[in-house]
Amino acid sequence: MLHQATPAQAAALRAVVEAIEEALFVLHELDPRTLPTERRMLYSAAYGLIRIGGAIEQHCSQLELISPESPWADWVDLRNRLAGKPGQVSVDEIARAVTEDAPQLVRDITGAEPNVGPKVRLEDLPLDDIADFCREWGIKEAYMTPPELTGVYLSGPFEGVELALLVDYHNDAPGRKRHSSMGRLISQHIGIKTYVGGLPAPDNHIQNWPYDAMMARRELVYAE
Amino acid sequence: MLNNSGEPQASWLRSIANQAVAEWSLVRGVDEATLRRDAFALYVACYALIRVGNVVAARSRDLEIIYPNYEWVNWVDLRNRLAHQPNPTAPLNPYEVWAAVSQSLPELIQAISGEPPAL
Repeated sequence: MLHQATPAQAAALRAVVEAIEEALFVLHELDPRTLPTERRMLYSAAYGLIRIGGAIEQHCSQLELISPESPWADWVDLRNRLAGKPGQVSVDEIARAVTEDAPQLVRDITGAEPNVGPKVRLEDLPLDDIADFCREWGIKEAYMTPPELTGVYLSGPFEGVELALLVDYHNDAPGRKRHSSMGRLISQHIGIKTYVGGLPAPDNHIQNWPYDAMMARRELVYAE
Repeated sequence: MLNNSGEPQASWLRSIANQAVAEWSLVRGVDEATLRRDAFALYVACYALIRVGNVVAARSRDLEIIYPNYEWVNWVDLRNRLAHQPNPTAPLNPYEVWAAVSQSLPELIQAISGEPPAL
């Protein structure tokens, strides 16, 4: 759809894609089989669909022009039922909308897969370059963890971060003194927008960080 | 409210209190910092609040007349804003969500039942 859209229509389509990708990013580890029993997963999926329906409703006049045959109204109807009559929406309907219909809508709009989930995988990383960087700045260990767990994806200077590294320095490491610059420096070094945080310890981490989740999902990137 | 109400008001109130307690059990203890950094937790809290707003909205006009000292309309308003934001792709306000979860929700339960929710 995007390639044949006017600027106004393209803006509307991008807003829809943005809402879908945000929701799918939040839900990227969704296992639809857990929806009937895992209420938090069900709620987050429902709210993601509400956000998607809201974006579509906001831009429906432009969307109807570019693709009148698309079921835009169905998305808005689903949003309205989830928001006003949750009992009228089945778990199956939520699961199908999140796992099939929403990604398909992004494909229909952009011609590409939704841009969600972990931005880079371990096997995609330039590990030799990262090792060089770690040695230069006195890093003993470095782990990648899902960026969303560090909160850096939300906004501000970390918006668009693809890789989050949790690092542990030597006591006298030069990187320890320039820790706040490490993200920018390694981003330049490896060509991937990276956030660098300190490796939290169980008894010494920022209060209320999702410590367990970060530790459970970390992957070793470098160790001396 | 509940102890001083006859039917059908008591039934309405029990329905709201039961929903509020059910949602409270899911979101209690979440803090603002978590809502700021964890979009999954933020989504969960938003939908829990929407569900509370829904049961209040179903009887809000009657409740406002019978129990005018409680601001029922705030729940309906919050539900509407979370579900029908002017800009659905704008970032949510984690502080507002946190305040509703940590303060307004237990206050609602206490206002109806006379007791705060169990921690």
